[in-house]
Amino acid sequence: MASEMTSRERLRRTLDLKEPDRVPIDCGTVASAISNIAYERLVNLLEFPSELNRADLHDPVNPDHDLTPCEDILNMFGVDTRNISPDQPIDSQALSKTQLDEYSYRDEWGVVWERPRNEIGPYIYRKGPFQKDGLTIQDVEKYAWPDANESHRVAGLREKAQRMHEETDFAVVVSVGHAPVAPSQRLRGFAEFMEDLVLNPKLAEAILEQVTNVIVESTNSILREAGPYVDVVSFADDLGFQDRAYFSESMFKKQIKPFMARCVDAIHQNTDAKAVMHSDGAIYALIPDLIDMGVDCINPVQTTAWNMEPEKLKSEFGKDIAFWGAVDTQQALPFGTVDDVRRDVKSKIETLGPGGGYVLASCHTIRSEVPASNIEAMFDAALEYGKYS
Amino acid sequence: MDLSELVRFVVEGDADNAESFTLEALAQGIPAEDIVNTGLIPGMDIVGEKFTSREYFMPEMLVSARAMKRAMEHLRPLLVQSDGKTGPTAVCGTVTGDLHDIGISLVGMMLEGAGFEVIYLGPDNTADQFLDAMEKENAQVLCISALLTTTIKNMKGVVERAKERKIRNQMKIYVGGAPVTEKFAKDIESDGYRPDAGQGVKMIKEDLSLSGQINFIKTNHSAVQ
Repeated sequence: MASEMTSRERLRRTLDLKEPDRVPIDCGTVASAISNIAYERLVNLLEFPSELNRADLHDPVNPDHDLTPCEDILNMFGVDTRNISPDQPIDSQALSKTQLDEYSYRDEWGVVWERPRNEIGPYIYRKGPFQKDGLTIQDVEKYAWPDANESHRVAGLREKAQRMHEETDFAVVVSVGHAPVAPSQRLRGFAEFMEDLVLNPKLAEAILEQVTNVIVESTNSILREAGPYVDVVSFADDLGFQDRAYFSESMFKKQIKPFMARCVDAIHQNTDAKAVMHSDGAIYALIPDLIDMGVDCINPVQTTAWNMEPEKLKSEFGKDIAFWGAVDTQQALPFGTVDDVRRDVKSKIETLGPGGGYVLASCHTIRSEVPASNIEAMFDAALEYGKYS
Repeated sequence: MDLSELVRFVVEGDADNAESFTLEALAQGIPAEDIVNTGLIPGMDIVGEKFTSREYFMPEMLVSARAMKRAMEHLRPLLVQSDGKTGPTAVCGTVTGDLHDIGISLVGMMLEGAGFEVIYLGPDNTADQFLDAMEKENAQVLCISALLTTTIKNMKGVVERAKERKIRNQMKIYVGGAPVTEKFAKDIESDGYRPDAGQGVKMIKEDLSLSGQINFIKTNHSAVQ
């Protein structure tokens, strides 16, 4: 590739499984943002003092939260992607719901989220409205499900998307939230939902059905506005632990896939943008099913998880699906040296980059303990080593 | 009665039959100790191996653990030793700042299935909270876990605090969770790490047998009368 491409061309080409001019770089869109605590150190290192006055840098009710770096830093890092989002998406972990106390809030699905009391840390879901004995299918069907069609949810989204598309050359990314497993687990309880899949599959199915209906409506609503203007539609559903998938392949295929497939269909029916799916963990065994459903790219590519070696993923699936992420956030970024980080970036580019099909990003959010010098080294190395010859 | 039937009910995750079989066995005068040692513990051993070999995933594990717990509810009152416990005691929980506890709760359930008395503290525990529980319950084993790279540093804090309180030698401290590695476990001077609950419980059982601490379940005969 002799001439330089635009960010949008670069990203689209790689997601089409062709080599662009260099490996595209992402920060702040698909599970690749930075903790405000790490960001504060970064802006000091890079000497952007005005960012210390950023309104969202500190939040006493959410002291460890994700944010996207400012435009100057994104440009310095060569980031090719930019996020747009609805103001009030239905699947939001935003704190616009009912704050219960300093450490907990209830979202509009009725799920209670908590953050640790003994140390600053992120919120996670802790209790759901279906997390009780004796839950029936009728309870599920009669529940006050959030309404995805309320127009205020997507107010202003079309204008934002159109502006980003027409006035910039960035690859525009919109998220449609979570696909059906995560909301089902939050509502029913992580362990309880797992047990339902074995002991009460009809109940699990009823929950997945209702959740999928909400997600599909929400996806349709978001993409009716933004669909013509975006390059990537991302959605998330964690399907794996460190050492295995949540479910066997046969359970996933039979009980989860039919619902997830509807969520992916809703994306492709509304836009020609690529569908990028986020799932943490050891999901190797489920990748053929994701490809079959029409997922174009997987994220974050947790290469430190079991059976997720990048060489294996590229050789087995690289002709059918792209990879987004892969820079190690469990060892190199938080605990390694600058050289460890550079080595990791170089190695991921060399393994996942050939033939296109790789977008470089941190393999999950850059958390609070990551040294600023390592963040800088990561993006430096991405630009230095990312050129296709 | 053939106690291998109970093994099968646990392995298949059939809580109703595990419970009714247990009640029937007790009614027939089979000692609770035998039901646990020949029915439940072997059942959970098999389940642990199926988990390690990835034949079982989390849904199957949780369902088998539930079957074991339902049976144990009827056996526990009959197993209490003179010190008020059913067997060696383990305290389990996640470290300060970490609320992700599905993995450690599975470890707790499997330790119960292995005959341990388990004190489950849940998420977000300081070092002193863990160690206070260890002292109060006279526990031999502490199992701590973390999911986040931001919180695993607190595992080192627990080991150090145990040394400061001069009680480190009175316990085994085991660590686990997604970002934990063998090297990390050694560096912080814990007693061990395994990558999944099945292997972890196996290691703990072996360690306690080696150190001579295991003194398993004896039936409280007066309670049976």
